[in-house]
Amino acid sequence: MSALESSLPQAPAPPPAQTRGARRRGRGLARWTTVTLLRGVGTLIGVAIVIFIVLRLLPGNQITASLGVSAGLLTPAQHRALNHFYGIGQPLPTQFWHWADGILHGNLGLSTQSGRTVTSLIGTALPVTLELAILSMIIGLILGIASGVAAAAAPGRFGDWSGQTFALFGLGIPNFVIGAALVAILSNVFHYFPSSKSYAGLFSDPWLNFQQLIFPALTLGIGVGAAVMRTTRGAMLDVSRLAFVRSARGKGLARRVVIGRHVLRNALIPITTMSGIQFGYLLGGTVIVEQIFVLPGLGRLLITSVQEHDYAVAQGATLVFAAGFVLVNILTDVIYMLIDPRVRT
Amino acid sequence: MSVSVGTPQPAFDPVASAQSSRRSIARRLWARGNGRAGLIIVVVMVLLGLVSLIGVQPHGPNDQDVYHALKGPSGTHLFGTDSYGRDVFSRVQHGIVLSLEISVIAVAICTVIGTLAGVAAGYLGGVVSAVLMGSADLLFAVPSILLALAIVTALGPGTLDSALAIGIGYAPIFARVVRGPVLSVREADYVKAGAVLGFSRRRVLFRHILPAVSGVLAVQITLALGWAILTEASLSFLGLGPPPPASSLGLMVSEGTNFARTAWWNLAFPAAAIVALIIGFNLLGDALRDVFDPTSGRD
Repeated sequence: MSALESSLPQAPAPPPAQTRGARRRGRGLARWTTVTLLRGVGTLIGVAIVIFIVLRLLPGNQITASLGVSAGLLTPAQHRALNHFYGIGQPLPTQFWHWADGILHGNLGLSTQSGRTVTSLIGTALPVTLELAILSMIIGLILGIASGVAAAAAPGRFGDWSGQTFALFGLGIPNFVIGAALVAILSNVFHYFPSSKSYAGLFSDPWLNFQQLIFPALTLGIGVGAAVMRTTRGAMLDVSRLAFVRSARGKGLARRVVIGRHVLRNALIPITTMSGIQFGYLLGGTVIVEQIFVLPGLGRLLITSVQEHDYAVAQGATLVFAAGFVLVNILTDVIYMLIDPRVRT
Repeated sequence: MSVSVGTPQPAFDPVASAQSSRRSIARRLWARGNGRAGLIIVVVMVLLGLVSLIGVQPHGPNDQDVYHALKGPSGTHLFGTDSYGRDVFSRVQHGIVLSLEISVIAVAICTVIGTLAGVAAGYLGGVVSAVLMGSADLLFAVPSILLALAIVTALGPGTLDSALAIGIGYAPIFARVVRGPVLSVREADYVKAGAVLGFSRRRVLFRHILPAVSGVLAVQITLALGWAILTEASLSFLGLGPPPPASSLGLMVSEGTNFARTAWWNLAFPAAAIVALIIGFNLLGDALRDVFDPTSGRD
């Protein structure tokens, strides 16, 4: 149903019967790696073009963005000079080519607002978002898988009911509502607002860093957990109906062993798919949550740059988001191969 | 829409079966707990919003009364008042209308674009399919909120612009969801028979293939309404929705956070309205899925 499905390893052409298993596996893997990488690069190029065009549709340009109303006071000569400086007058393909050429040389351009290189801006913002996303994902997976397993272990009972209620509200409450409510409760009831201090890096002040990230991560993690819970529950119930589970029970294995080793292991494939999809959703969610909790991450950088018409920064940030998404898709496929021997042809 | 006389009756006519089962779909929906809950929530919320259009609301949504600013819920102001002394209940009503208006247009856009693309990709296959599904993959690689963000910034905030931004972001999902069933129906005997009988492509497409995806589509539309409301609220929370004084629900939540300590009702009621709308459509969509696809993994 997703990009994941279409990027699943393509079945390689059937090799001659006498080929040895090991060689076959090696060749399939090589082919799979090539296809996956090409697909990823292709997607990124396409995204780059789309982003470039969408941003060029924005009204106004760098001159009006940096000078505001006073842009109207510029003499035609000044206008021409600035046009030349920003490269505004050039045809779009030329502008795109300059940008693309820069990327290939590891140069994402300069921020017209701050004067810093886009690479350095992203370099400081990315770790924040990455840490937030990973922490949220961990929270979401723990919440989701635990409640999903509990729900599937006793359908219709209390565990199931509470798990389903959690999923219903986790999916129904937008992350900005959870975030806004958390901020309101923390600051008003507990007079606690860790984000009021300037952001602390993971290595410079781990404890403050944890305090600043745990609530935004919780905000995002609840939504992820809700989606993962539903998938886990559904997949576990599906697998439980299969014959091998019945025989596992029949030969007298403990309930924990049946659920943990037989049912959950086989339910992991849809759970992996859902987690991959949720990670993409998470990347979008960081934009909003970073805004609420005032975290200097990639999402905040993106919103500010779009508002300030700082094209190079907006393009760079979006491209990094898209690259993250593509990477997660590839990672999902790798995890498939690790947990499902059938994919490893 | 009766089948014209003289047309050979296929063994399975999805049009006829869809019609005869329409009443039983409603009944099966109502028989399910989630379907009933979803239906009730959605109907109540929609009515709450719509009656304000014919003047059934306690106050004007933009009537200011600074002497009664930030007053708690009372008989005259059911949900209290905001910092300008405007009635929060009336503003929530107005917000529901705005939210529904944008979401319905957005979902209409993505349904039309997505379904056309999905049917074309599934039915025609080949290059058309590769190009369409390739573009869908591309749009998928940009988080939809980012896409909406860029489009809204490009077009400027407003009802139609938000709707367009949200609609484009979700069109790929419809394309994907529709393409699958079209692929399998294309090979079904009754569709092949239609082609053999010399029916025009258009007739096969609209009379035989589209009805077969209507179930999937109904589920997807309902769920998409929930997403659209969520995205619209997120956009307006970021200040990219309809500009003030329009009482967009997301904007009300964002303003409400400033007064959360002294006037919780400014935050709680708009937030509750958003949550109720989303949960209502989600429940309804889940129930519809259960009704159309009994094998969808639920016990």
